[in-house]
Amino acid sequence: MRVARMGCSHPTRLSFLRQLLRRLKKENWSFDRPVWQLNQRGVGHAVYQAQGPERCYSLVAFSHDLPEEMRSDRVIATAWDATFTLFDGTPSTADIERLERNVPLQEAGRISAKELSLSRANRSVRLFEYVVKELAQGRQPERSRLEHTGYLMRTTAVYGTGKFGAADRGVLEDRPEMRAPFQAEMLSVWLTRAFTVDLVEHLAAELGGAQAVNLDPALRSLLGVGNSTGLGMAPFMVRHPVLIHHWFAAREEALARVRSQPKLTSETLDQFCEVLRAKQENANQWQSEHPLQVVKLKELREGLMQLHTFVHEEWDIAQKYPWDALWYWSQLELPLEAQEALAALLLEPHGELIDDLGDQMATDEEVTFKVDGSQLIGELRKHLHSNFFWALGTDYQQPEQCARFWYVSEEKLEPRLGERHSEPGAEREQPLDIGRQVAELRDLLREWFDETPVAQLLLVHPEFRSIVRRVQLSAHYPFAEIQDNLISSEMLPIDLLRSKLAFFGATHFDPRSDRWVRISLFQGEPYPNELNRADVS
Amino acid sequence: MSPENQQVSEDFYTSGDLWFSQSELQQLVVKVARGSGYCWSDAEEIGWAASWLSKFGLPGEDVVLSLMHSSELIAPTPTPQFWKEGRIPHCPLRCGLALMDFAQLPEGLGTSSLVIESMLGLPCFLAFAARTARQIQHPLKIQWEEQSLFMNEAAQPSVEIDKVSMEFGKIVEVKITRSESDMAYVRTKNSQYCVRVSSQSFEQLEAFAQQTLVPASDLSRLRAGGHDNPTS
Repeated sequence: MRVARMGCSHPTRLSFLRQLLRRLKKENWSFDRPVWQLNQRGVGHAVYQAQGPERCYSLVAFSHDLPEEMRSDRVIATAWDATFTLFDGTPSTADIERLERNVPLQEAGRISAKELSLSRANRSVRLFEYVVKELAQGRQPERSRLEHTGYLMRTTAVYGTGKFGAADRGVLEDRPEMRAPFQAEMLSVWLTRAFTVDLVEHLAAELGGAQAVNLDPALRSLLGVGNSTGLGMAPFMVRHPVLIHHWFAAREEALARVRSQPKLTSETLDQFCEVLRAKQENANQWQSEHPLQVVKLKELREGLMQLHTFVHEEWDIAQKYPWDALWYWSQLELPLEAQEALAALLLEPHGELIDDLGDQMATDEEVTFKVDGSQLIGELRKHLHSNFFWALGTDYQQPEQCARFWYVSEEKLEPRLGERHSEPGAEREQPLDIGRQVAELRDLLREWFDETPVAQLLLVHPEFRSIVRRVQLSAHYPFAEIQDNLISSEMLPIDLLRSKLAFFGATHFDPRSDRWVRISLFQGEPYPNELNRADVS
Repeated sequence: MSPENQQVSEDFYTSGDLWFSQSELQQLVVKVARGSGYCWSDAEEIGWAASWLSKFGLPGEDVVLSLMHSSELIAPTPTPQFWKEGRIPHCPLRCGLALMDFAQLPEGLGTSSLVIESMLGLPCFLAFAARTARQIQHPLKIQWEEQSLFMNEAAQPSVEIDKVSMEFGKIVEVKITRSESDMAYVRTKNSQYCVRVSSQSFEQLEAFAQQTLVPASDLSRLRAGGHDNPTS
């Protein structure tokens, strides 16, 4: 896993929101909005319920009247247009009252083991107000304006398991519907999407009375839920090496299965051509003004055009292992952006072949939180040199190779990235400098004999325990490490964000700087009331 | 194993105490340990230990605070069957980590048992003994003074853990044995998901954790995310 490739990630059919929708559809879940208590100004609360074969979950939404000057997407904000929690079951009146005292406060409040997530969202003011006004006057909003923004509200944080008192992963691990990663968070966001549309329709009805209309379902599908994401996601990718391994291993296994198909069928070929066409259309609609993304979008559009030409004019579909041949060609001819897009496209027509891999994307990290003290230093050294070669050629004393440091700010505990040579705080650095730590371990091991057990090393140098564990894990989990220097001046944090967001299923990645980004979730996917008759794959 | 107190108690919001999830407590304690001067590697382990203790009903956060306030404890010198005391008592963190690391080596549990002389902070050590049992996939019997308990291969303690003294400063000699008892007849303690932390302990924990945070500045705020435009 190199950062540059991670920064070109595209969502696939193994993405977590796709897994959620497939399961809900397959298990015939039903959805309801049993509570809608919002006043003329849209202030109040609502409850959305998802009923599955064994359990139900309720999104409890609180809608607020937020003064414009308080609206901010930053983690350091203290008030939002709407706040949410996903409740485990059906909330009682007492639960709602308790949640009403806490959920609007977000980080400053407390939730309980009855809740599975905590989140908030702000309106995309221009689009939100425009849509309300149009619907109030009995008109549908312009399609192009919906496409351009892509959402009515964007979440600015979706906190999941264990945060602020919420239920831990352990509460959910025996539930099939929560087995894949981030399913509670995805369900929460999907129901939030329904709330955003209900809210504009409610306000339009209050404003326009009898002449107001609801949003046309065809236009409604263009809207997802936006998300504004900062650096907080990046440390997660480093702190959960075994989990991350499972995500990437599932994707690689899926790709390998497709490439090892000796023949293609006309059905899969047709589906592939259709998703390629849709991807091209999507790439043309994808808007970003950030210079980094503008370059990537150009590469993507050109690469997809090149791919389209090759597929229709040069690709020999009768050859043995045609998908592998196509993949091999892409590695030689296409830019990274288009290569990664192709990886997603190749998986798309092969659901029956690969969808079971979704079950392998979660793991019990507790089991791997250990060190093998009986391993000999020689063996450890071998793993270090074999699996961390990418880290060993760098001189971490050079200013540009240790230019940054990751830290947590006092301000709402926001993870941030500092400039080591010009900002204070490096003495409180977070241990995300894996490459540098590995190099230090390599240097330390020079003083130790091959036959000595690791236990002896750690008795004298307990500070190396974490990195020794990672080196030992690397023998079993080849995708556990981001193979780049994460404190280098050249490192782009948004590349890490994009990779994680793609696993979520995010689209329309739109960087606002090199360290925060806006994306869209569930755009084009069915709403709860459409799921049963929708084509979900 | 059926987790207890998954439902929130009625006084959830009326008492001055705070309820934490296990993972939340663990993350807090990692910061506490780091903020008090432990290296990140040790801090991770201490966080895990606090979470384990709390999971089985012991005040993990108080054990950690005692560890933070204790000084002049030493690491063991592992030798077969017996880790002898020096002039200074053994540190439960160092003994616990060494127990795990040497578990499969002659200087550790070897094939039989191990005695550790003169150790403080028994509850802290027990967390690592539990992990050792899981690591070697063999139940362990832990004995001290007139008491004993078992740890099974899933890192669960027997119900006798309820009787463990929380007196951190008490020096004990501990014997760890590969248990041959039939664990089917040993009652294990149920785990719980919520951890109640007193506001007094929380204040102390926060004071240590604060030491890992970098004060905010305009520059750091700008570089963290810069300017957002909520109207777009």
